[in-house]
Order: sequence, then structure tokens, then C-alpha cells
Amino acid sequence: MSRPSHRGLTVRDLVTIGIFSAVVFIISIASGMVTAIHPDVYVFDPVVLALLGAIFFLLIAVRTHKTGAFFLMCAIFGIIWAVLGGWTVLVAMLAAGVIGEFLVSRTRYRSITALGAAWTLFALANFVGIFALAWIAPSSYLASGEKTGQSSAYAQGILDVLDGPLVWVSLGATVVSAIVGIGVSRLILAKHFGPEAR
Amino acid sequence: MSRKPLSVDPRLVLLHIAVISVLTLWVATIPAAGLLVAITAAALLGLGSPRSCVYLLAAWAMLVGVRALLVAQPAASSWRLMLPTISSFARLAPLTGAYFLFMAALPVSRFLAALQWLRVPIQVTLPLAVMLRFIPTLHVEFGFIRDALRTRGLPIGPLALLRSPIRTSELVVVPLIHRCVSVAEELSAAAVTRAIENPRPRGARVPLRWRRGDTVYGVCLLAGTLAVAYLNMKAGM
Repeated sequence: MSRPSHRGLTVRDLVTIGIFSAVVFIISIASGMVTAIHPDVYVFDPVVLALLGAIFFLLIAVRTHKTGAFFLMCAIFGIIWAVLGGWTVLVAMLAAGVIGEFLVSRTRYRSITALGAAWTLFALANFVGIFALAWIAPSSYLASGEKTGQSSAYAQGILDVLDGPLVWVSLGATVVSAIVGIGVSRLILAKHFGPEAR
Repeated sequence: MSRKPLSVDPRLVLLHIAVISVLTLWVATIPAAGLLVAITAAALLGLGSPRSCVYLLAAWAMLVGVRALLVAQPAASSWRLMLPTISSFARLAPLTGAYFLFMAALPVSRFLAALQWLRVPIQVTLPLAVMLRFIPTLHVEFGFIRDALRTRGLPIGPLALLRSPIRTSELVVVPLIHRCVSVAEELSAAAVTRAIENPRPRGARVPLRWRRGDTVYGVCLLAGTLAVAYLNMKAGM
């Protein structure tokens, strides 16, 4: 069993990643619960996480500054969603984790642009993971919705939204929210934790 | 004389959680999901966690009851808007049972021992264990923050969030971050004190060994899984 070395992620880093990933996960669950009220609202579910989760990702980056932190966060978030049935989230998160890790590692987690890009990838992976099943297999998505007691109109409503222009609005809003989230989080961290937290 | 709670091999508990996860995705009817909830509740009772058992059954009964009330509403009623959310919760209720099972039967040391046996690297197991254990604590932490804000007469709640979202978010998020940071420091210090950085394989106070109770638990789990599968397929015909 491999152990963390001091060059890589230490126990403190791993615990930090675990704790802040828990907060990010709770935000994603809460946002899913609130937005599930209507298909037109549900399509904006990833926007909430992109905005509110940014500060916790930035904290992970600020407190670790080590290769692997972003990938680990993505992997853990994806694993938990996979256990809850969202295996598409895991696949998307692993892909985003690899690309994002490449971006942030090059600057040793110090470039806000790279961190913003990585967080945007995380938000996009969440977006793709949530709706991938409806895109890949709409008929089985519809059938599973009906079987599980959701009204068929609701499942069809989600498919209609994903076919319409609203999904592009949501996609754009997710990207903008991720960038704004990182910008605002940076200011909040600088205000409350000092300029070194930037 | 009180009966000693059943102690189950953590690998078997992980298997049980995996079975619940797969079956939750597969079951398509409320009765089959109900049976899955009942089996998990029975396991919680056997593992010495009657409170979790009661919570799970009460949550399930409430969800099914609310869902039945919503289904009975006219199609044009605005209450029906809640049906998808409640149906999803009812469908995913067995996963709540899996979480209770994790909390009741898998202390961090046993969870780490089971994952170590599965050759999962500690870079994954440690954050995963911390994350899963920290989620219920978050509710308590949030309660402390809410009480502190109320003591100081600062607005908190949905109305305050609507009136001034940025200020209210900041009032909640910043103390939460400070609390998370200090919890991370405490937990990592505790883990280092317990020699988690030692490169040698971890020892276990209770070694991983298959016992008679595990066989009984495994047989019950298999029987329950088959019953859920049968009920699900029968309803699907």
C-alpha cells in the first residue's frame, strides 16, 4: 500500500481535500434538491455548484499547492456520485481531473488563470455528467423516469429542455459562474485570510 | 440480558453497500425499493444501531406517504410539481440506508483496513474516509454558525439570503471555512499521531477474519438481494 511522501500530498493535504470535497458534494446535493422542482430550473443545477463551490476548490489549491490535489478532488467527487448512481459524473470528472491537473500543476497551483480554467473544467464535467445519460440514451432515460414514479411529463420535459436553447444558456451560465465564482472567492479569501491566500 | 450487536467483516459491509447501490439503480418499483429499505433497516438493527433503523424506516414511510398524497392530487395542481423530487427521494431512500450502514458498521479504522485489503492507495482512501465522516458533522457545524449569528443579531435564513445574498453567504461561508480548516488541522494531527504516515502496512486491533456471523450476514444479504430482484422482475412483467 503506497503512502504519501512529503514531496507529494501529505496527510494534512489529504484530509483538507476530503473535508472541502465534502462541502462541495453537499452543495451539489442541495442544489440538485432545490432545482429538481421543474425541468427548466433543473437544467441550471450545475450553475449553483460552479458559483458556490469555487471558494472551497480555491482553498484546497491554496492549502496544498501540490500535484494531484485537483485530480483527487475530482476523483472523490466522481466516486461518491458513482455510488449514488451517477457513473457518468465519475467518467466526466476523471477526464476533467486529468486535464485540469495538467493545467494547474504546470504553475504549481499558483496561477489564478490556471485555477480558474481547472474549476471551469470541473463545473463543465459536472454539467456533462448530470445530463450525459439523457443525451446518450434518451429512450432509456425516459423509461427509467417513468418506472421510478416520476411523471413522464417531467422526464420528457428534461429531454425537451436538453434539445432546446435553454441548455446552451445553462452551459454558458455554468462557465460564467465558474469564472465569477473563482474571482469572487479570490477576493473573499484575500479579505479574510490575507493576501497570501490569493 | 442485552444481546451483543453483530460485528461484521468490513469487506462484507462494503459489499452490502455496493449491492444497495446497484439495486437502487436497478429497482424500478416502490415495493422493491421498500423491501431493500426493510432489509437495510434489519441489518442496522442487527448491527446495534436501532436509532438509524428507526430514522430510515420513518424517512421511508414519510416519503411514500407524501408521494401517495401528491399522486392523489389533480394533475393541474401545483402540488404535483413536487412529485418528481419526492419520487426521486423515495427511489434513492435505500442509499440513505447505505449511508447509515456505513456510519454504523464502518469506523474509519475498519474502513481503511478493508480498503487496504482491496489494495486501494491511501491517497484515495484517506480523503474518502474523511469526506464521508465529515458530511454529518457539517450539519452540526452549520448549526453552531447559525446560533452564533443569531446571538449577534445578524440575519440568517432564506429571507435574509434573498434580501442580501452576498452578505448572507459571506456570513455563513467564512466561519464555515475557518471551522473546516481547524477540523482539517485537528484530524491530520490525530492521524499523524496514530502513525498513518508509517510506510508499513497498518495493523488492526480487530484483524480481518471471516467469522460465523459473517456467513450468516452474507446468506441473509444474498437472500434479501434475490427477494428484491424477484419482486422487481415480477412487478416489471
